[in-house]
Amino acid sequence: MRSPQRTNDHCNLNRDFEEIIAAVKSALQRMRMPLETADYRATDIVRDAGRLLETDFEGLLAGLGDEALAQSLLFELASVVSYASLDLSWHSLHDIPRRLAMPDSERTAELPLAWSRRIVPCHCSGSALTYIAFGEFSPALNIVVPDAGEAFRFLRVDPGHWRRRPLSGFKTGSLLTLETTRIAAESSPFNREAFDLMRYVRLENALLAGQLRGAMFRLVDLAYSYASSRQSGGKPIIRHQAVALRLADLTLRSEAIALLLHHQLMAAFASRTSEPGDRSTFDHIGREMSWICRNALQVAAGHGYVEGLLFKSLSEQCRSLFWFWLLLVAPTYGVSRVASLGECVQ
Amino acid sequence: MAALDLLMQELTDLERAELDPLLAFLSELGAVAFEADRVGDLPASLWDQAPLSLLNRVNVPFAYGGLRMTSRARTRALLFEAVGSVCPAFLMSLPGPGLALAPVMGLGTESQKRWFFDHFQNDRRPVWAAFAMTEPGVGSDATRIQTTAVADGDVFEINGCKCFITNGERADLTVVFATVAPGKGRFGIRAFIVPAGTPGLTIERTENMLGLRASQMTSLRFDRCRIPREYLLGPERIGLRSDAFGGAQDAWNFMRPAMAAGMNGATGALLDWVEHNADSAFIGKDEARRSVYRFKPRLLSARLMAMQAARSLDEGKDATLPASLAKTYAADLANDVADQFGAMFPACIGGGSGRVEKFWRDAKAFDILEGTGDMQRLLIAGLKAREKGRF
Repeated sequence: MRSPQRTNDHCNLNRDFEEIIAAVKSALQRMRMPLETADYRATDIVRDAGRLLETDFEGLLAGLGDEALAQSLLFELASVVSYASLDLSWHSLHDIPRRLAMPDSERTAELPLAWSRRIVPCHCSGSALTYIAFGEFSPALNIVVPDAGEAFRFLRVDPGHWRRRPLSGFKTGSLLTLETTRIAAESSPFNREAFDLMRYVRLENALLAGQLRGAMFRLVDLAYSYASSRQSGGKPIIRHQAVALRLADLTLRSEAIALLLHHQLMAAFASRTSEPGDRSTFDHIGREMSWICRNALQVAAGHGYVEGLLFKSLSEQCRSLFWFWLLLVAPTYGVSRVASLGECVQ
Repeated sequence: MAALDLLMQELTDLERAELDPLLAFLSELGAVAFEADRVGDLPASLWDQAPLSLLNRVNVPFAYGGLRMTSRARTRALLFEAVGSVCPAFLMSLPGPGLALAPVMGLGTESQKRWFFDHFQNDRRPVWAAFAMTEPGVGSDATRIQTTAVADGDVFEINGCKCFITNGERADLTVVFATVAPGKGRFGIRAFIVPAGTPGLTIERTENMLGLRASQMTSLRFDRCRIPREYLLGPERIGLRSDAFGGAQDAWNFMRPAMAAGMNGATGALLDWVEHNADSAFIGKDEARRSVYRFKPRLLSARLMAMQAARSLDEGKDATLPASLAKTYAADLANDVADQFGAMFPACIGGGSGRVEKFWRDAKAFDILEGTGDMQRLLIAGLKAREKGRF
């Protein structure tokens, strides 16, 4: 007889967080509007959510002291905010993992713009890959170098060694490659002894997984919204069974992936590793993300592959986010996969 | 983690005392799984040593004499997962109120509930209840039921035919859905308790099923079947919110998380079997093992979905959507696993009692029973389209 699998229920939320998340959710619900007028990047509601986040979120997270709860909350909040605006999520939440990994005395310090970049995984051979999803290319980059399994080093690199390329789904973003490693071994911008790098990686994992979940749900809900608003044969296309079945499959697969992402996040925390799963898990999530994007686009027909109704950009962002996440949680595997596609690493 | 450790962890000492005899019985079940599949029934000898006083009450609400251990949807789902890993047909064929529980709980009066559930306080023989909704001409559209119930003084007279009724022949009590107002759609539907042996109730036939064969599936005929008025569940008057359809939906919501968990248990057991028997795979052991690993993340997702649906029930939320998601996902996974390994172990497709062959049949049946996969998808799409905001 086999043993039932333990599942990770969401942690009980801290009361303050419950209030914040409830307020954010409420604000985001007001944001719902007809498809034709939806503005993904700038609405009053998004500003409301941003104001709430800037006010309290980071301080409350830092005060928690419970990393599992912090991860779970960051995952949840990143989902909610990314659902409304990936841009807002990126700008308002990106700093939190790094700050929470710093000692209290340095937590509020002003940081260089370099922090607008997200994660920088590094291939074990020495070549490296990073990306900047939003924001400007800054004169100095900090990279996380996975070093023989569980160990990470946090280093600073001269930007002259990077090659810059466009980043799918993010018009202002960049994909950077580093072909020659010229890094002073002790060039960390922080006191390395005090900086909890593994904690940083785990929290980044939570943030990226949450953003992936939010963007994916947004894409699926957009498909429902489109199918409810467009007609064929005198009725909304959602009432045609082929479309309804496709939408149901989108729901099934996206819900399954969302649960899996959260579970893997908590499992990684419990086992104190940075990799939340094995290769079959990563492959599965990648395939499912691809399927979800492809079928959401199919629902929107012509609007699925032209600019305008967000299907194209959201699907590209979802797929890029998946790669961001993979590069963080399984850097060696992720970089080799990207390299195998001939997209970036030489 | 050893078998059922998780369930053991979640149970109190009192609850664990209920579990131990059931675990011993599960081992007995494993020994008769293939025989039950072959004959399409549970062997009578199974009950000789069975802990009937516990088994009959697994699904009975705690307040009405049920087990403390399964008073939560989550622990119930975990137990079903263990049962499913032995044989998924046992998920439905073991004694207890089954699907009939929810309409009785949702629609019945206090005295009706006590009377109904008292039947399961029996340590001498297994006691079943059945749930009779589907009709030959009305499958997926349950609101168009043709079976009628006409009031006649102190009795209702039921006429009609029901099909695909699990445990229909074994059941001591059957909850039957019939219309008291033909033409009123769901608003005319009412539920009635019909005890076995009531004149006018006949078992027309027991089906020869493709899969889940130990769960007996029968056709029932009601021919001037007269039952006392007090066997009506819920109000007789016609009006909004007075129909029994909500009770039926509650029944599906109640059972689907546990059934999905049970099917996941069966799928996990088959993956374990393939892993241990990869040497005999037609395509080679390495490819067989790779296939197993590719299914593991989906199995984990399926388990999480079943537990999420169970949690919705435990929190008193509407579980319609998560229960449908859990059931549909579990069925899809089981069928994909069956297809994959059916092709890798072709000898098992040749009939007989091969493990993969039986799983293939059981998985297909699971996708159909209690709401087909296609109808579940229409339900899911409809519910999601009406959802007011995801967050």
